[in-house]
Amino acid sequence: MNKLGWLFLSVSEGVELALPSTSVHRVVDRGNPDFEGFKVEAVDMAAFLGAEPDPSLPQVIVVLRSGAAWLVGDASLQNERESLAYLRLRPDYLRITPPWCRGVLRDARHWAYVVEEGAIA
Amino acid sequence: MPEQVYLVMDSGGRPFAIPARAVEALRSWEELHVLPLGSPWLQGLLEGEGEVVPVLRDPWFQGGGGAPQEVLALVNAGEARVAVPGDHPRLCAPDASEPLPEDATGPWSGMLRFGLESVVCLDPGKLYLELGLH
Repeated sequence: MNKLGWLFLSVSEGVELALPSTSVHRVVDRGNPDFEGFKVEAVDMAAFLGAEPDPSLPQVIVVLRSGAAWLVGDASLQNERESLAYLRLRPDYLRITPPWCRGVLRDARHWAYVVEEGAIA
Repeated sequence: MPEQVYLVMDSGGRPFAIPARAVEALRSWEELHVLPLGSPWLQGLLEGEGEVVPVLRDPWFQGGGGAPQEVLALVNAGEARVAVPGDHPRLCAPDASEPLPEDATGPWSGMLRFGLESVVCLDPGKLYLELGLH
């Protein structure tokens, strides 16, 4: 059983990311007056990953405790009492250094890449 | 005459063989997960009994450049498992084995003759070494 809760970030069809909820300061949706201000500085995660954004997703900005902000399609919390399997990912499976991903979280509903925050810029 | 059985698949319209004893399972292409910013040799990832299994893009198989294929053969490559994509999987027993052409490069162990057809045979251990994953 995981001690952490996870925030799942939908980036595009088939690409979902996961962040420990403890890394997240707030999630700002499009209806929030702060959205456009954060968007100017936010890293567009679909563009960063070279993924096709899913136009059906509402777009939210995830503001991290580090001060970084990421634009993603949507975000949802995973109940911390639900069990999730973590599979480690070898760094040499990735094309960029430092690796942006350190593992995969999976259950019946998710195959999510656990993001290495420091590698996203 | 070789007594072994081989899994023969096509990639880019060209057949290749894998020793059947090294093939643990055939999985559906639909199970493949794309890894953004993945290594060039990596088609994506597959879940395999508590581990992440790399699915190979097929530079040696003259394949379709990442086009969807029918199945993923889960192959025991000695130190780890890899998944190899292909079409039209079939089990075949070869009529004869032949040496590789002298200029052949790639993770091959030799050639196999199935009737009139000569097919390269994958060496899973060599494949793993060539990927630099040892």
